[in-house]
Amino acid sequence: MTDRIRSHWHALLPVFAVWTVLVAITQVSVLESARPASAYVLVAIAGLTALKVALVIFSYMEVSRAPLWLKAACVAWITIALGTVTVLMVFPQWSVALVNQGVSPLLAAHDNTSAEDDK
Amino acid sequence: MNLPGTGAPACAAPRMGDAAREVQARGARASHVPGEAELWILILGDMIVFGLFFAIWGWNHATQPELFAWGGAQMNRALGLANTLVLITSSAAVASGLNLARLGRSHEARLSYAAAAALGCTFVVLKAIEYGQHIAAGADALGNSYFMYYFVFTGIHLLHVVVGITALLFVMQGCRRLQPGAPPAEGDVVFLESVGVFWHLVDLLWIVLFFLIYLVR
Repeated sequence: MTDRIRSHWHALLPVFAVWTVLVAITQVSVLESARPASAYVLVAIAGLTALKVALVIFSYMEVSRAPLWLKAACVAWITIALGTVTVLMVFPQWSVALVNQGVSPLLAAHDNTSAEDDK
Repeated sequence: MNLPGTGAPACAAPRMGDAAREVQARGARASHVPGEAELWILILGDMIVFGLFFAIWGWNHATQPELFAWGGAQMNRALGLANTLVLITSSAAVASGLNLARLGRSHEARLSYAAAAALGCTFVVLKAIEYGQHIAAGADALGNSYFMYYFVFTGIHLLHVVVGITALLFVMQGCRRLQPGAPPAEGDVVFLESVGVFWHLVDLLWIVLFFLIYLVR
């Protein structure tokens, strides 16, 4: 019986510990989001979200025991997905200007090609 | 036939201590892809698609800040938070179910998966209530770009939840076939891991959606 309880404990304790941390981070995120909107608050909430996602991936999905390529793919996804969104929200005008700067020459090239085709 | 990793005959009923050691041995195994390796093509593909959805949301937030500030104010944050806690708890139930199944506790594992499926159904009901509130307030997917993206992205996520619940129901049926007290076969563990990985994907995608839709102002 003791062995059975011990094995249950070993199996379920890490799951419960991660659940507790996830719920705690969620509560902190909600409290942070209630503060006056600022870049600091947004970055803080994005960071907490990234932490929650990483916990789910590496603990519940058991990616921590996966090959390096899978760990790297997951870390890359978290960084790119949340990084892109955070930059777009924290620096909206800069992001829009940067994208427009990159897209404008492409659009101009497309317009020139279309004009030549019309001729 | 030997049980994987132990060298013990499958016909010998293992004691719980053996089962625990089996779990530890599997846990300590290096470079183990959780679930079916091919499933990860779908999982990573889904993550990339949702990554694009998140970027589209961020881009529209950057180019239409007033509309997205107004849209954010229309959201029911209590329901969003409730749904987040529901999915986090269901993920914990699925992880517990997998660990219990590995220990040969098939009955407890089945209860864990049943709890996860019930929590998944709760998510669907809460989401339906939230959709109903928005539609009753005159907001629909064709109203403006905020609600179009909101309904499309959360709708596609909801579809994932329904698929996940269906998979959990299959797992519950599968747990009936497991021999109580004995660690499951390698193939059964791979199936349980695969369903678990999909359900955790549903959870982590919602965690990001919760951040974008309910927390950002």
